[in-house]
Amino acid sequence: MGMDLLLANTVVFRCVRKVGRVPSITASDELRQAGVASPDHLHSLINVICNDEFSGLPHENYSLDPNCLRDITLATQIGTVSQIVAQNAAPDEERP
Amino acid sequence: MRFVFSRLAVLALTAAALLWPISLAAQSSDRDTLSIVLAQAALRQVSLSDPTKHWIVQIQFSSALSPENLPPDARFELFDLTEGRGVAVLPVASPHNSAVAQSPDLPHIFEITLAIDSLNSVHSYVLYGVGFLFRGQPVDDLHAMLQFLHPSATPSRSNPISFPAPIPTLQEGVAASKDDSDIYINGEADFVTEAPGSTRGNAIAEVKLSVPFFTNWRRELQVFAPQFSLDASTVQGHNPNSMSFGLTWDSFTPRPWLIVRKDFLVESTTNFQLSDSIFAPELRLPLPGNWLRPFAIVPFAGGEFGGNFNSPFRPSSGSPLARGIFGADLTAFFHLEKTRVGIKGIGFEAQWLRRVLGEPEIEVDSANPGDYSSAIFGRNPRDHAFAKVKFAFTDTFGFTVSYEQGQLPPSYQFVHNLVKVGLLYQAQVKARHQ
Repeated sequence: MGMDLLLANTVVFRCVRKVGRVPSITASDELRQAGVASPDHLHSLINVICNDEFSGLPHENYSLDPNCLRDITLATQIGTVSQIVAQNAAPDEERP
Repeated sequence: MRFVFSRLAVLALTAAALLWPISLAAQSSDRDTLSIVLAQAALRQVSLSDPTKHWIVQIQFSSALSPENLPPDARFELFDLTEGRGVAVLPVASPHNSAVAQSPDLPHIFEITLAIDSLNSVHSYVLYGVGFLFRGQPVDDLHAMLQFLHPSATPSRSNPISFPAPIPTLQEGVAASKDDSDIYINGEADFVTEAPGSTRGNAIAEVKLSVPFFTNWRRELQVFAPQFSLDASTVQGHNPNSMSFGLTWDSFTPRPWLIVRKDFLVESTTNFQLSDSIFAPELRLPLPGNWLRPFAIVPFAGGEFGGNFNSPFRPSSGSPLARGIFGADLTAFFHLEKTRVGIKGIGFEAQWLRRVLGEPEIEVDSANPGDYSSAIFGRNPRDHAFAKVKFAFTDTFGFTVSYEQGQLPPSYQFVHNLVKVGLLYQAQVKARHQ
């Protein structure tokens, strides 16, 4: 288990931009500031990170149990999401 | 002599620090569209003329960037990825930064001086350039990863760095909407006019308990949330008077703007005199988050299908239910610096919903709420709207002022311009990581 933090950061930024449509974001921005502004947006972000083949972890041949991101809220900083992804994502070949 | 000794000490320390195998690796996630890169630089630990040690981050820009024409709000932000927190915000014009003189053909170099305790050599950092311009246009993404190359601290696929285990706590309370809360307890009060010239206070309880859990099915996120919701008042028959329990199931599609929600609910009055069971499929269409920021708007449309299984009003007992629904949710939250009265933020939450009835349904007379014999029966559309302003004293505790108008199933008793004030406890239960 585990993923390079830089790669996780890149994936999370790509996904946050896809859902929030705010181009200029930094890791210290809260998700709410990045356009992820409602519970629907938040769950869409989790879906994109875990399942989107063009923006999310499948694009990098990694996968993640969405329950690992269950605790993030609209006030969570983007960098914290990267941290959780880096901590919990696993390369696809390690999956049974 | 003392001056010479001091200079020698500084040089020795600087040389030792430079030999320490750390460096700054640069990265831009928009390489295809962005030609500016926060490029090769050095992260040094030096001792200045005073005994205090500092970090010096040297940032080298490509020559296409014009640092002399930077807007006044241009700044660097340093973020600690290991701890998930911001470390420092440094305006480019700060006295802590200085542009190192270069010839016009060479890249520009900035130096940022940071206190020695602001960085940890076993953490990973990312440095953002915010508000920079490229050929007069704002640059969307300008960031560089500060990656220490010490073998034990370099994160990689085979050597991921360790993280502290998240601590289970209650988090994001009043800032969230009722929909986003797992625990929502709102005690409110209003005044009820029972007869001309006679009013009395009415205490209202609004409770929601929910336990959401996630799963993936066919590469799509599914969120299941068993829940119980109660809206009750102490004055008999007065609004609100509704209760529901069941399951909400959200399916997320590859398109972030389309969510399919399915509700399986039993809804009733608080004394179970009127009870329905319904299946409610609904399409939710969250508008892009950058529209009307910080307001979030989610239009929705769907249906409610089921049947009434308990009613004192004979024509409605056992009758089928078919309703079309459409409306929109609106939420926003504004964080404030702690004010004199201790308010940490102001939240806003509103909803408008119209039910178009396919089958006739009951409408309890609001003048005689306990008398079902005076209820009428019809298919006229039933609207409901509410707006709530929340003043957060802490993350989970606040004061509310709300307004409500319209009709809610199953009794559809009309609420006329109801204004309530109350106290709110609202929280999400944070799960423990495995």
